[in-house]
Amino acid sequence: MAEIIENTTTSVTTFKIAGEYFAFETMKIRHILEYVEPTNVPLSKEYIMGVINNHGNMVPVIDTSVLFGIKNDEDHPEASIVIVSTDESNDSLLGFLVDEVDDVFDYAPESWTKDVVMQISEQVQGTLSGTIKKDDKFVYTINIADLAKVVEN
Amino acid sequence: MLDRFQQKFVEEATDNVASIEEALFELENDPENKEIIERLFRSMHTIKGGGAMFGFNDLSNFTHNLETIYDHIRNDKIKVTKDIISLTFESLDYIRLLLEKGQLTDPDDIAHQQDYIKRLQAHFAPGEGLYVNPNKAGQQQAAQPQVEKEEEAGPKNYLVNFEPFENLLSNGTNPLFIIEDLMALGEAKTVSYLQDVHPFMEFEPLAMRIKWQVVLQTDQDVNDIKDVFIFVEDDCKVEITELPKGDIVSNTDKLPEMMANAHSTGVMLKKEDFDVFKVVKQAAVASAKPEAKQQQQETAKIATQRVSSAKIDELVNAVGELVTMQAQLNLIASKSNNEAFASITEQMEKITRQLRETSFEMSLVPLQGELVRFQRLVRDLSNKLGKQLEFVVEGGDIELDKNIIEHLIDPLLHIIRNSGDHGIEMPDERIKKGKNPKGTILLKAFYSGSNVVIQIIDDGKGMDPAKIFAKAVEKGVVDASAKMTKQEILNLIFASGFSTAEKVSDVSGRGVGMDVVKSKIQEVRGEVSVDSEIDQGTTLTLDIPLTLSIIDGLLTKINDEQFIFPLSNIERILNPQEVKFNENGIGNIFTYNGEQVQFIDLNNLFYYKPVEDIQKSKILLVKNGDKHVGMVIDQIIGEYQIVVKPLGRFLRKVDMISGASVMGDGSLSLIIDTTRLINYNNMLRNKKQQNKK
Repeated sequence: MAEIIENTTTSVTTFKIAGEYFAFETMKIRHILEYVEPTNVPLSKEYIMGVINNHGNMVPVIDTSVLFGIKNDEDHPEASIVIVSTDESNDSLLGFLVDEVDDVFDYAPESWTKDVVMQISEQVQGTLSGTIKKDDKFVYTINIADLAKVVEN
Repeated sequence: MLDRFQQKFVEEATDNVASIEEALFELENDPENKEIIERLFRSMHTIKGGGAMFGFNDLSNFTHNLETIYDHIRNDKIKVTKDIISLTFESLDYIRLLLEKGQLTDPDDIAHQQDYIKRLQAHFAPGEGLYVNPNKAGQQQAAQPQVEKEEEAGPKNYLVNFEPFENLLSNGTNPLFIIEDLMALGEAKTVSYLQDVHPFMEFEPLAMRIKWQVVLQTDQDVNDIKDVFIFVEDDCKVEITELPKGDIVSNTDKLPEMMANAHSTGVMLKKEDFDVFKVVKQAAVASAKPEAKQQQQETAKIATQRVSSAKIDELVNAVGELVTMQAQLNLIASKSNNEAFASITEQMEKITRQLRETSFEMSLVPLQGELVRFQRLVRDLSNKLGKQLEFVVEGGDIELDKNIIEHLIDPLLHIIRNSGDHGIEMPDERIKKGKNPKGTILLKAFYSGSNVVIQIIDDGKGMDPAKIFAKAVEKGVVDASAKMTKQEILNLIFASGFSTAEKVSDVSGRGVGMDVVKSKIQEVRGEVSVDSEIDQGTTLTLDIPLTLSIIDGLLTKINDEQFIFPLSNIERILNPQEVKFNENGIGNIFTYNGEQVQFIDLNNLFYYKPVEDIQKSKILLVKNGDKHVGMVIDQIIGEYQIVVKPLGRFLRKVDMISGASVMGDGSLSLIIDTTRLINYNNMLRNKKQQNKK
């Protein structure tokens, strides 16, 4: 959270889940891949779709709408997997299935507020760090480190 | 540049400290052994000299004092005592610290070092001059023997051949310094041989091609001359020949001409060339014994080479990728009808396999290197606890993956500490029990299939199951009404929140228990078990895989997904027709070979839908302790060599899947850890039973 508040401008990458806009800090994103079907891992949490091979690293892929508890049944021809590095260590890569990667932009601190009106599933609600008003859209910023902790535990 | 050399010095010095430590243990058992003392001295000397050369002056100064003690020992001026050995051990820790810190800057540290040095000097032979300044050391040492040997007939002469190997310069050694050192031993004349130096256009600045001969007139003996070459002994050929005694060096008549001649022709001077001086000094020669000591260092072949472990990791990774690519290539080759292509692919596979094996062997390191730490621990323990402990090693030469060894050190230290602290009794108690007052901690390591077994066996008081059970109940680990076998009770020591130490002692029981040991071992896919008899001792057995990265696996299909079972875990592949299932279908049990075998339906466990027709499935018979478990799967595809990729921390909880592997066609297969799968299944079963209650 701190990083997003304190920097004067921060670049974010936005993506869509069921018509809503969410954002990761651009600096944390390692790859954006076209959707490939992950290899299912039995007995893992329901929101883990499985693993994919990313340059020899096994990267778990999260079904973001399941994790966020957002009903999302439609087909998404633009579906992508956003791979983020949650910290600097080697096994910190985590993939997120999103409906569509939307935009990359810098935002000014005054367009950001700590308040989040959006309600998602309880376990990840705290990982939404704020809201950016961009044109006529509301973009919810996600703290990746917090999100990683939820997935890890 | 300098940093790189310093780095190298620190690495080598650390090795030297380790070998001193090793030698000290030997010396403790064999205090009169000259060869060990000599080895100690040489290692210390190397550290001292290297330290001074690479800017670790405090280290050099300190080590000099330590070395002096051993110089006195080797010259029979003082005897090895337990105090000296203890002090040396302590000093080694200090040297390690200095290697880490470099130069001391804090005045407190400097004062501390002064005190330390005084402690060392207290052990010097009586009447020996105290050491003041590293630069004057040579002169001071040189001065003393001169007095003693004054009565001997004239100074001795040596012909020193110094022929550096080509790589001498790459270690940062300046050969001229060595010659200066040599000349400082007495009077000397030097001749150089430039015949091998390449002409200017082909000049290689890093290749050493010059040879020297030094005619040295000195009071020092051959050992002192050899000491000059102590840092470069692997990088050059040195021959020291004793010449007739007398005043050769200052000869102005024949010597300059001989040397100039040798320099221009390139024909090196030989001992016989100096016979001309004999005539002049006949009387002196006659009295001197004709013992021409020839010291020759065999042109050493480089048998081992230092490679950074990061590079080996890189190699192993690259070979891992290669193995994967090779599998892809094999697949394409088998589909194509091109015979030449298929044949080349086959040959390449052989090479890949060979490369895999070689790089794998390279990545293994012997356990031996780490044993000194355990030995040290046991020694410290016996001093601290007032117990008599002996540490014995069997099979220290086994080799393991470096990463695995790193994971083993802490658990092993912990286990050994426990054995010393809680296992072995005090000497008087042992005598009462009719045991040898000296307790033994045995570390035994051996190969068992693709695993390594390491056992820590002590002959202490053993563990009392009744006490353990009571403790476990008290800690809330088990229910007081639980009925357990002795083995089950002993295994309670691995339960979290359990520590048998009645009092938290200084030595063990720092809040870390055997549960931490167990989880550490499990991180490297190992298992740990315990066995103990009251008053006979305790044995802890670690069963550890040789490597983590490449395994032989059996590729199977479950519910149309690919899974790999490590081949080493599978005892047998059975057809359902070979076994007798329980007729009523209850209890997931079949009988095979007269044994009741529990089976796990993986379709059911993984995908919550029981296998459709068990008669069409396959059963993998897996060993679990002294029993067997059957794994029911759909189909067997074949045997593959696979590279294990960990799934990472986000899937750590799914520990029955130990990793994944990229298959030839680019798809992924998950690798099953059968032991954990069985544990997981048992846990589910126990849960269901409890729910029923």
